[in-house]
Amino acid sequence: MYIRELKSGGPMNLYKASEVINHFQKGDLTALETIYQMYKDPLYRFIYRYTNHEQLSIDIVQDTFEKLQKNRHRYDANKGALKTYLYQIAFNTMRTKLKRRSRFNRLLPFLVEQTSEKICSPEDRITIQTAILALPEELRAVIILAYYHDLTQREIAKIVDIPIGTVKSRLFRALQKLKKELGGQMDG
Amino acid sequence: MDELKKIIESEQVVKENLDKYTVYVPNFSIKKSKMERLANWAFSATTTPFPDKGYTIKGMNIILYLPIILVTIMFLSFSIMS
Repeated sequence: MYIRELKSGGPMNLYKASEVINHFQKGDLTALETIYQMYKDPLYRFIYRYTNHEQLSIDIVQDTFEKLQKNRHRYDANKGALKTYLYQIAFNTMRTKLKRRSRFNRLLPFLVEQTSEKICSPEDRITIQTAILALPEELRAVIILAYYHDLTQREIAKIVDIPIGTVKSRLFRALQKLKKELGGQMDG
Repeated sequence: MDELKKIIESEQVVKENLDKYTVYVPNFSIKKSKMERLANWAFSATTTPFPDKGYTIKGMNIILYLPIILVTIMFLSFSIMS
């Protein structure tokens, strides 16, 4: 029912959104599916741009919705939008997985999966994709969330778990680094 | 438009490049079994534990059989001594 409404009527209005969340918190699986259809793509894009790894991104999106389903009673609409809550779960899941991977990588380097970046030909390497990947992790999330996901400073601060003021300073640092990297590419 | 996006858009080179970065979203379901995940991991491409170049068939054979030859020699010499 919700999916049909979404597909035909474009973006959900606030009334419908709160209704879907209400149904979802009562355990309605159709409502969960609706939320999944709404946020699956943006979440995947966020994680993919951050990790540059297709399978890992799929796993993280699926884990995010599994966690959302398990902890559905913990979500409080008064504390923030569902979108922020979902990005928060996805970001924390991703951070944990990446830490685990890097530990595993140190222990057994030849068992670690290749990212698509490594499979690319050398000519394709200097792109915005690699420039973003080359950013330190704390800067990467801020620029991706700010540019591609239309999130406010407050929302980003909540997702990344940093003070609001730090968001802007990290964004400036990320921009400087990207400018340097991409400027160099254009000169060469 | 949000303040942060305005800041990014003021940097023309960065903005143009960011716009180029589109991501294709594959089709996947809301849940995946642990077995499927394990299979994906097991059959994914990995980096080789050996350096990229400098291999010959002879070299590979030596790497492969040298331990066996050494163990055989050791075993034979121990059995002759005892």
